[in-house]
Amino acid sequence: MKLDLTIIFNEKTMLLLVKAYGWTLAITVMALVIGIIIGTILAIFMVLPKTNIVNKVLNSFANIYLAVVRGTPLLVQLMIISFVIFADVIFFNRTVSPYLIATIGFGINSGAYVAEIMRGGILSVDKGQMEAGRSLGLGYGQTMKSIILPQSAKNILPSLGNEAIALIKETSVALVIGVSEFFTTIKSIVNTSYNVVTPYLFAAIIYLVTVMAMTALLKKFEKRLRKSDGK
Amino acid sequence: MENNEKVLISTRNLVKIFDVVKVLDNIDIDILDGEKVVIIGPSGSGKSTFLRCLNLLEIPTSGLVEFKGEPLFKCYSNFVKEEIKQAKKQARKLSKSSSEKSEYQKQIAEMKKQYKEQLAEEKVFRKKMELNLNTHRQKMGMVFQQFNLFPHRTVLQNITLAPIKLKLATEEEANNKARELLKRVGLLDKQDSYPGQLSGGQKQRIAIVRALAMNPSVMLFDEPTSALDPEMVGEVLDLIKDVAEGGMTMVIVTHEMGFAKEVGTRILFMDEGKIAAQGTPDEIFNNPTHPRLVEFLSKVL
Ligand SMILES: Nc1ncnc2c1ncn2[C@@H]1O[C@H](COP(=O)(O)OP(=O)(O)OP(=O)(O)O)[C@@H](O)[C@H]1O
Ligand SMILES: [Mg+2]
Repeated sequence: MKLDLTIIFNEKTMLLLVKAYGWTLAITVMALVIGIIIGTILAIFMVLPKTNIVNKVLNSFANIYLAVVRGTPLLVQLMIISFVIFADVIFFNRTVSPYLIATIGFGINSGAYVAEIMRGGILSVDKGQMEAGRSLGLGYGQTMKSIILPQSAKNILPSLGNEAIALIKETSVALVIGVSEFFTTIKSIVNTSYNVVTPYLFAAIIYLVTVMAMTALLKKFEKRLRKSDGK
Repeated sequence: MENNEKVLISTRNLVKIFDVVKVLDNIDIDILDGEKVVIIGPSGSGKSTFLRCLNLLEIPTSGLVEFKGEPLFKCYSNFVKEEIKQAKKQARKLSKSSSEKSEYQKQIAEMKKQYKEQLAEEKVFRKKMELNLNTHRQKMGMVFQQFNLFPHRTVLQNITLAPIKLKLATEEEANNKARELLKRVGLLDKQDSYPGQLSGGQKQRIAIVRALAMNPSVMLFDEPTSALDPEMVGEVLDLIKDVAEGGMTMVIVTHEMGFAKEVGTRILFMDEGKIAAQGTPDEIFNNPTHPRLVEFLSKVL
């Protein structure tokens, strides 16, 4: 089988691929945002001092969430969200778009992984920081928000980058609920052109370039956060 | 005499138990407005724990902590619980039919009732205190051995963060006050530096300024010079002396005996969770009587 660039670089296919690539990026970014929000909340639930019943309940909730989400396949989660939870949901006379469902699904899934990253980040901050904040009269939440979380941010950035990279490649799983993103489009080109090498090679290059761009962006961001270290 | 001396902080029956070890053993103390109380004692005697119980960074096991006449912590239920345990143990030793036993059981029932009432009362108290505690802590400045400056904020931001977040001052007011204090300690040129760029002595002086910026009624110091290189101890002690001369009430844990003698108006010697001896610097350092104190002083002087 040989390289045949025309099956990729024609107007119709390119249009399809650009759109699909756009979806991949959009789903990844949105899911990551949802994941970071959920993950941060869960991480705080996990590090709350277990001094009262409310904190203990929140702590257990976070632990159960992590166990369920990390213990079951992503594919199954997407199917359940799509075919069970959102199956009969009608929104403005229409069923919910699989793209939205995929975004929510990936977000929920990512939340569990981000939670562990965040928890590690929070624990990496010296406990004297919380004490200093509290001794100045700041509340627990206030100290968390303006003292602990900003400091953990630069510690977790590399792991968060990993999560983003994994997510961008994982989005192809969403095919099962009818989402056509970048990789599923590539696969359909393989199926219609009977050429395996060209589309996959093209996909590999695109993924590589995307991940490299993300890495560069991350590095820049990290450098800005590290400026305050005086190092 | 006691009428014109205002009690700022007081503790009654203050107990702290870690696991099974009684680190603080029934401490009663009144700290008066303007006093400079210096706490000395061997390592592990509970000095830090005591200091941290005063602003509730450490939650005591039982007892009372008052600040400006208002209770910050009040818990006797654990104390009653312990008594019930003891009484039950005693009762078990007695034979079933003895009248003493029924007497004990009556007593235990009474204590259990008391325990329940205490518990309910304390629950209400804790709910209310949760909110007040942050307000009271604003007025109790604390300086740590490890400085605990916020590394992600500039020196100026370190000082102004709490006043601004707590809406005690506008950003401009807070900045002006911070600069004024920085000028006083000779560190104005460091206002835009990050803590990572400062020496230990500079860091600790900033930490003291950060606490002062809250206009506290009392300052708590936990071994403020123990993490410093010897050549930087002086500048920090000088600043603390300066603040002391300004009339600030202080509670200082330190191993610097010369400094304790010079600044302290009252010295507490802690040993095994108790205040084993207390008095004026002259009484403690020049005429010690308590044998453990004599032993301690012979080691450190
Ligand atoms: N969080 C904790 N958990 C368990 N035990 C603790 C804890 N904090 C302190 N302790 C114990 O309580 C005792 C008193 O500790 P504390 O730090 O108050 O002593 P200290 O007088 O300040 O000693 P040093 O001069 O070494 O600072 C020690 O035996 C210590 O091991
Ligand atoms: Mg100590």
